[in-house]
Amino acid sequence: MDWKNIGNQPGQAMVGRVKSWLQNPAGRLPVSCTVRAVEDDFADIFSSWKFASKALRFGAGCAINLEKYRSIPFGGIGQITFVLDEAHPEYAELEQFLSLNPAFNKDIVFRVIEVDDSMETIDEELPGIEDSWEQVAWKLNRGEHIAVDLSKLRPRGTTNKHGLVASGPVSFASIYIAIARFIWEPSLTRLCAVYSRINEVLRRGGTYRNGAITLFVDYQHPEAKEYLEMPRYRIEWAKRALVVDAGLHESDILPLVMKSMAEGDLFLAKKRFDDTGNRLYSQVCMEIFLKSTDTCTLHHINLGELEIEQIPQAFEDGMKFLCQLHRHSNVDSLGVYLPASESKQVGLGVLGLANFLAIYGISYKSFMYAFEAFLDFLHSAGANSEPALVELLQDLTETIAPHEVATRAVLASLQGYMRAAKVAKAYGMERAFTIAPTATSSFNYRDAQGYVTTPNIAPPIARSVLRDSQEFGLLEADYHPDCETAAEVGFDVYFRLACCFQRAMNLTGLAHAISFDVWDQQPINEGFILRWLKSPLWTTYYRTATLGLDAVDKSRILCATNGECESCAN
Amino acid sequence: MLGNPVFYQQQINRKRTWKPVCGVKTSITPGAEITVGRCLALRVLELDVQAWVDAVRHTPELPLVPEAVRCLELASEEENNHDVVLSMAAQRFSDLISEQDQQTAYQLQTLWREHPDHPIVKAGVLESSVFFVLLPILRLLSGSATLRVIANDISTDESRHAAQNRQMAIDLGYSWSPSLDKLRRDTVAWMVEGLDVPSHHLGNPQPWLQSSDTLLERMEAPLLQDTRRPSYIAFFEQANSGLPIYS
Repeated sequence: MDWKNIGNQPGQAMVGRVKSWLQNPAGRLPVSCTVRAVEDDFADIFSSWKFASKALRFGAGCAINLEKYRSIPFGGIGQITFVLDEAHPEYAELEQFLSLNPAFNKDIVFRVIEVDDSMETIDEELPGIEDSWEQVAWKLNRGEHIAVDLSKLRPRGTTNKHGLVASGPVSFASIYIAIARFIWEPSLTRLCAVYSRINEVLRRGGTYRNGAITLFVDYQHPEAKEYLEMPRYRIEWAKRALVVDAGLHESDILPLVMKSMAEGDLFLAKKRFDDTGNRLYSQVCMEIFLKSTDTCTLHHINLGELEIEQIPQAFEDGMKFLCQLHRHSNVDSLGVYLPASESKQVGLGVLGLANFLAIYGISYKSFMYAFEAFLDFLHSAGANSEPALVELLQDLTETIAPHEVATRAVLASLQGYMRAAKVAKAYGMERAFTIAPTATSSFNYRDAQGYVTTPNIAPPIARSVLRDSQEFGLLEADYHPDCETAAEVGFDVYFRLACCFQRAMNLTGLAHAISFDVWDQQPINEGFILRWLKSPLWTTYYRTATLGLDAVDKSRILCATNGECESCAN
Repeated sequence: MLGNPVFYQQQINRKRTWKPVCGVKTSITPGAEITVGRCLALRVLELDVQAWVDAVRHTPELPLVPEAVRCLELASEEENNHDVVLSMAAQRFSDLISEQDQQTAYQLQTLWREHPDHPIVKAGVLESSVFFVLLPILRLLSGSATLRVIANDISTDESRHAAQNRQMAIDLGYSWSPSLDKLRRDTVAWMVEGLDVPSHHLGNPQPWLQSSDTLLERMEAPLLQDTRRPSYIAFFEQANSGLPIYS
């Protein structure tokens, strides 16, 4: 079978960008994400803006790691002036916008930026605009006065011949302003604001509007406190993450970290290195660990569509597909990302676990207990490496009774991981397994009984939900009616189950990580932080609301005299 | 003492803490602009509900169980939050609220204030038959993620308020008068009269008026079944300042 067709087989769940790339290989790359570790160096900082912009323009995620950045004053305090043709429809708006930024005096036109090309390039073609950010930053840094002519930028909302929607001069002016503010008063928070502004502007126009930026700072960074205390309005379109280690628990910054996590403003990633000591960086959604400028290619197994016995083969097939995709992704073509030959990782995940468990009548709790017991048994049997594990798992297949459904499901999953690992290793992969959020792709797949699949390994927040996006509006999803919900499962079971999946991935020697949501059922306190730090989990992700969700129901009033009220039923 | 303490304790247990957040200004569904503007104009009634709840709470020798009194205390604090967050939204979307509509909202406020029915009845009717339709309009029809989050947040309180206020009125032996019923209907009718979103099955005034009627009469609104789905927020597709805070 042609490798491209494997991804369409039952139990395989291609991500949207891979589907569209297979249909149109000349379109955007099939990679979901990239990472850039920024050096404490002007040139690297300035070029990282273009790097981020390029990823965002293709609707991909971009993690920016700022651990090395230190706020060293720049050389000069140049001025920037904007020029716009008076006939441009946004002239008055720009004038008003700049009046709110008194550092910019529109009446004084300094000399035009001397690189003629840059004047030409502040036009419809975005790469030219990206270049001009770097040029402007260098000139401001040298204390020069610059005029940026935005006249060639089309008015906001107009569409060009390629179908791209313009963001308009006012939007782009705000990027130059963010850059100028950073140059004038360098700080970590002002640098963060530049990335946020770039994402904000780019998502207003263009073809794809789902690019994402996550910024990473070490918890011991001298400006970590300011980073955590930065108000949301200063960083509207970038997420914040903190790189931590075991020392976090004793750190003075811990209370602030817990507050930010509790309010949904902070993700955590444990500091990580590969076997040879190379630093690995967590990406936007936290679950993939990459070298700087590497990209991630994702694919998922739709557990909800599979019989237990089909799981091992589905994993093996999924990994074959993914490794071939990685080989053919043509990621080298842009010249900015790590070439496939050096990018020795892919990310095979799962979705629809809640559907699978519902169809088989297995509770999350019993699945988690069976998983824990199985992993503990393997550990006690000394089966911690591939050949011994494969042999032992094969022996166990014959000892598990048909009615032990949860145990059979766990065994099938482990066999799946081992078979897929063999494939990944044959392709030279160093990391290959993950549990990604699948918050978008899960909506596009169905389980064996026709219900929408649930994201990754998590139970859904409710059996029927609305996906709520400012970009794409409301999207309805009806999950399997027998699915357990997060409120029913409970956070402790979910935490332990996530640990099981991480341990299972670790057994292959090819583990990335899990985007681990911390539900609102779990208070963010020192006890939880310590538990997480000691656990095999690498990350914390979004603060998911799982409780009291029935309050949005406005179709009935549950007072004591209403027949549907729980207190009457009790 | 009047009231079922189990019921009122359940309402207390359902309380969920949230902080007022208001994201960026967004576009509004074409045809819903007037109605959304009027929903926001009616925010002025939130503090009246608070005043009525406080009036009941401070009634000498109030014959309600302590759990009911605690519900009133919580409701009073929460109404303040509603006023804060809706005022933020009204400021953000100020262009949707015409001067005339704001004046009309104030006139309606005066009518509600001056109405002679018992304060707990007025609070119960307003919560269960006006705000219960106002919030889903913001959530399902506004087209704004900013307003949807605000509607979700207020809803976490409003469902309890509607239930407990209606129940307290029953426990205390009060009911609404025909004139309050008329004021309720007039308020909702004014709010939704400009609604015109043909692409949505709730995009016209009738289902909202009917739902307000049935919520008052039978405490249910079958036409609002769609509101049962909770929201799963695509948090990378929304500005940070508009994301909910539950802590």
